[in-house]
Amino acid sequence: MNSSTLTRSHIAWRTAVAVLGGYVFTWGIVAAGVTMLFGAGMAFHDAEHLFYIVGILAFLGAFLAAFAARDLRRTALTLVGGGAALSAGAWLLQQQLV
Amino acid sequence: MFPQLRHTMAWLHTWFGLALGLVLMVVFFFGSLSVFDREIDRWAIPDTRYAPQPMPSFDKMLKPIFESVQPNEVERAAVAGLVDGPLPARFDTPRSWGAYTTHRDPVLALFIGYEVPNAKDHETAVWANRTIDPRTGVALPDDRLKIGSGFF
Repeated sequence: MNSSTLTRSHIAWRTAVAVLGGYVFTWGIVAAGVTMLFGAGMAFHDAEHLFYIVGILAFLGAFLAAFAARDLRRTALTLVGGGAALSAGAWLLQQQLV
Repeated sequence: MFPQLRHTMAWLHTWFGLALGLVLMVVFFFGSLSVFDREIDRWAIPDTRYAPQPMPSFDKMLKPIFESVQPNEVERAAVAGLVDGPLPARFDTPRSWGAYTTHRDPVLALFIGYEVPNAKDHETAVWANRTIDPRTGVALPDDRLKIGSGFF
């Protein structure tokens, strides 16, 4: 046990990054995936359903990774930044499609 | 979080298992209560602990009660935004009348759906409810039903 990583605030941050960061990241994955598959010609509701299935796996992966990662700051940046980038990309692509 | 992945996952499994398990316990507790919602009604209103009754006479008992029950303030507020102009003080045109009872629930629940004049969508209905003792037609206290079947 490493006492420096088991402070109250560290655990609170880990949990926040895992739950909220994982949510943002999953949001980005689902938005980008649905948009790309719809752009590639799949029916919207099929793409939506498929990426809800992918999304639950993506959240599980992000959640576990947030606890497993050594560097919490970098993990938070990856999850939130990656989720935001994917959402922004999806939004831009949606502007092209509609 | 710990140098070894196995330690990290064991910690996660322990503490998230405990926390989410507590949430599940609360969910199961209230789920168990909801199974007995009608029995909680009987507990709250001792006067309703009688055998299941046949459906009372429509002409003698139910029709006058159906005609007298009006939507309460909560139901009125639910449709207030769905009409052009103010709501009428009294609703006169019923769209449906319903009466419901079971062997666990010897009281008789009455539902009345009224047409709403000047509704933006012509299918809008406003609902009125009353629960009565089918032997006498007397209304049951609404507040005490709310802790049983009214809550769940």
